[in-house]
Amino acid sequence: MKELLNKLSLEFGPSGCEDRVREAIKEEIKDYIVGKESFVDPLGNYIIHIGGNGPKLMISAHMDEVGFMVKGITDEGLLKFGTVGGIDPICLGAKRVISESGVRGNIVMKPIHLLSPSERGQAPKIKNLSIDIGASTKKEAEELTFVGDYFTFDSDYVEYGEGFIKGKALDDRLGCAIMCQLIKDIYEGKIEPKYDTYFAFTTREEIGYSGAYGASMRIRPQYAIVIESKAVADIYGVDEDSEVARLGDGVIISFADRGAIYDHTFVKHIKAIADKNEIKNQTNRYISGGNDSMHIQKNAEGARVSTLSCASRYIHSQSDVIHEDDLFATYETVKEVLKNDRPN
Amino acid sequence: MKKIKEILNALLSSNTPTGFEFYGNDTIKSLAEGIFDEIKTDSVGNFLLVKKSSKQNAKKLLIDAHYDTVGLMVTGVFKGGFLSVTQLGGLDTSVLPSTEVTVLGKENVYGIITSTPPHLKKGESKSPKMDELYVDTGYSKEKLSELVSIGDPIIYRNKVDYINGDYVTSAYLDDKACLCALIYAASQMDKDKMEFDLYLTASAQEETGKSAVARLTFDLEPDLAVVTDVNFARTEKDDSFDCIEAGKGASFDISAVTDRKITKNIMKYLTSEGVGYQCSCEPSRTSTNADYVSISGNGIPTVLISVPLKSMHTPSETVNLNDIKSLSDVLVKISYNDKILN
Amino acid sequence: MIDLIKKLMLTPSVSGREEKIREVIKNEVLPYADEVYTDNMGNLIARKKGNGKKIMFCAHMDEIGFFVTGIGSNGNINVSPVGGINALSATFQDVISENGVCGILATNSSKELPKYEKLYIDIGAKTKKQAEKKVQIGDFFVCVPKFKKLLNQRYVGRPFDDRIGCAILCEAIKQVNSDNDLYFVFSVQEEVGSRGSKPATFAIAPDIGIALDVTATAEKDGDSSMDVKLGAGCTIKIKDPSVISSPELVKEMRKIAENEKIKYQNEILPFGGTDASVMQIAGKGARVSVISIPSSFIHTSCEMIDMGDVKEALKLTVALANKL
Repeated sequence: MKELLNKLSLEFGPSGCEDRVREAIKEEIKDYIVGKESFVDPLGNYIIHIGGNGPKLMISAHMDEVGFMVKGITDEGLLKFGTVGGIDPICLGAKRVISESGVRGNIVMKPIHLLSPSERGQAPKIKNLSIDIGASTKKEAEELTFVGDYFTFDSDYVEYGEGFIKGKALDDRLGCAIMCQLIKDIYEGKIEPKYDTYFAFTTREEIGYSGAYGASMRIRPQYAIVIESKAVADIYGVDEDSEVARLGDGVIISFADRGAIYDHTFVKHIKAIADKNEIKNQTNRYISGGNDSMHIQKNAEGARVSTLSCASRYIHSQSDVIHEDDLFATYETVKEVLKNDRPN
Repeated sequence: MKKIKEILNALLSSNTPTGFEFYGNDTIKSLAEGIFDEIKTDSVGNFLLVKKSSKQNAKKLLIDAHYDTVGLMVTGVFKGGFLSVTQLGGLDTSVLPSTEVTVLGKENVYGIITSTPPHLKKGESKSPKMDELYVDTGYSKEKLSELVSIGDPIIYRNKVDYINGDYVTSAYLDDKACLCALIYAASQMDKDKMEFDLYLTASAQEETGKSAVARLTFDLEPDLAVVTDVNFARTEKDDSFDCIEAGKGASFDISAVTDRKITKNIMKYLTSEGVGYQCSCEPSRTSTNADYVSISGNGIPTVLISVPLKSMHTPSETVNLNDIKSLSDVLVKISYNDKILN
Repeated sequence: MIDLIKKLMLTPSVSGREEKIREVIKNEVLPYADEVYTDNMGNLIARKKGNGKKIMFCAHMDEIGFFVTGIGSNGNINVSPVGGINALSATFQDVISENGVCGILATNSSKELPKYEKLYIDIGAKTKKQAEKKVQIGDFFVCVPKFKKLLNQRYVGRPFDDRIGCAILCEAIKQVNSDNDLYFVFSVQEEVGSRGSKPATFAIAPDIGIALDVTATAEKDGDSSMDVKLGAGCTIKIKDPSVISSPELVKEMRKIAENEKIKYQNEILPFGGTDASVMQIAGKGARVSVISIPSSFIHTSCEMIDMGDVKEALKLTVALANKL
């Protein structure tokens, strides 16, 4: 599963431009969904109906990642850009980026030596940053890119320390990788789902107006599990109350975030299954963030939702970090939930 | 250009945070082999590479590029595998969060500089202070304490990319772009044409402001010192004329510190030879080794030539390879003509 | 050694006015050195000749204080600080002039944190004329020297910075037994920017330079960015803003310390500087580092040290002189 995560994370896929991720996923699972209904909906969601005896369950993860869009090109050949999804400008200075067509660039800002005293110490603002692609005129730049072109972080996949993984777009390719694995397991008979199971690889989560709206409207699930990564702050110097959760302490079975208060029964049910199977799990200790579950929960007739996430440090930067234990714990939890009857 | 890329890649893959230049000893030695007559080191960390002219009693030309780079240093090892750090040389903390680094401990340890997630920010838009940043290594404190000790240097993770053909991006182009030009120039110099004996320095501790090269110039008493360093290349529109242009060649810095007459002579001579260059002004000091070299020993006439560099002191410093080549061409020409001193 | 430390501390000598302390130290080292001399700038240099490496040990003799800059019509004495005085600590302290005139360092407002320019010395004079009889422009004052024992072999007083380094060198010169060519330098004007050690280093041109000075402590000075504790041994300096110690030398020092079972700590000081910064780049340059003695509340009137650390620093100094 780690190899798959590596592969998927490197695919180019900012919100609204998920084609390459989707093609990679299709290729990955094509031999395992023979005879099953699968389709791409108008919003670009890739939906596979696996089936099974029981209530409708939608398992979803989003394919898109944060990125940059070229808004204009200056006479000096620099690209002015906006962010696709929420990116903290403090994580942008001097970072390397790459466009859909493979044009490399650096994010540049005024060097500190040339800042006025009042400018020093201020965090960079997006409007003061540019992408430099090595062009010295507008014309030269226009040969390499165009207004509306997408860029993402140019960052590789690294395993470091004791079980940590760094990459770009681990949010939410980890969910995609787990779903691919589950689809394979089901095909190989390792799991016999006790739900009428749909897998939805969704689009545009990072911008809020998410592909999950359309997907859940179409599927109309009774239950939904969103597999995600969750921004946490378990870094030295942050007090325990604000950490949210810790990397390596297992799957986060959220009780609530800023977008949804999760279905209490379903959450308790999942927690009990995780405990029974001795899967490391934790819950969030701080209410923050939100994801596709907020849409799925409220869409159509509504659904009983839960989010299972991997804790992630430095999310939405070139160095998204998760722990492999959490990745496997999240996978194991969804797997065991599928094997068990629905909650009473 | 192939040879330049080779030299540059070798220099960029040696880790030489300021004060720890000796990590790069082997790189310099192997690059210098076959080009120079003499290779020396000193107690402060400078390298002196000598190439003599065939001419008897040639004048002495010193050309300097500093070998050290900015970096960080471990000041504490904490639970969860986090390291507190201080800076080696001047860094802009606003580019550090989420940046990848290598800790040069007992073995190289990968790490990421921490960044506080949005939910803990209280509307402030300040750059982090150095003591608010940690390096996340992913190890337990116990394991990490075996690998890393207080005082170990930390460098940006080295990643070399080529952009739009001729632009190279790496964390260490300040001042290895110039050092590359120097070594390449030396390899191109024909001893029979050289009118100077060449004393090339790969100098230490420029980034700390100590300018260790001034220790060497003291004894050497060169007739001319040419200091080479990087200078700000324009990225955004520049109305203040603080920046030079990338891709337009080596740049002469005209300053109160540098020798006015010789700088002029060189520029005139290059024009007559059809060699291109640009120039910029540093009205007062230059904030380079030139400041210190010029006043070392009995005083040394000093010329400063720069290579344009974008994103200085960040993990993505960027230089145009043609500018490295241009600096090399200029230096070769200088070595062939001692009349520039008159 | 306690008596020696006390004697050195109770001899006031601010930067540029080291005559008195120099005499005391000179008498102390004279019987043990092959050669003792004072250079142009006033550095006292004691040499023990040898054929091995040229090693320069350096501790500064000067201390922080005040120079008299003028006398007001009301008899108040205007002063200017010499070195980095902690104004918070110095205000309303007893001060004493080089000629033994007593006074207090006062400020017009006792409600606000004092500013340097508001500080003056009151010697009880009623008129300018009266004050002028006792004090002249250019005289120096210091906060009254103190030396007291507290619990746990901890001592408090002033100026441990850097009389404690001087005391260690005075002791070391008695104990060393080495082939190395040793220079014990008692430098001047460190507190105003390491001015004295520069010419001394230039003249000696040592292979290795080691400064002895005090350093701050983490737990008492509330600076979490460093890792030095009072009473946990002397320190080997790796870096401060003025110097990055030569890595090879630091490695050798650690090895010698470990072989000799000397308790040491690694020091990265986030502020300040020492003579080592200048020794590194004076003349042709030298390999340098610093042996520091942890001291809390540096540059106040109650600098605190642990005598255990001092002993370790002395052991390390002697071991380095003998084994480097």
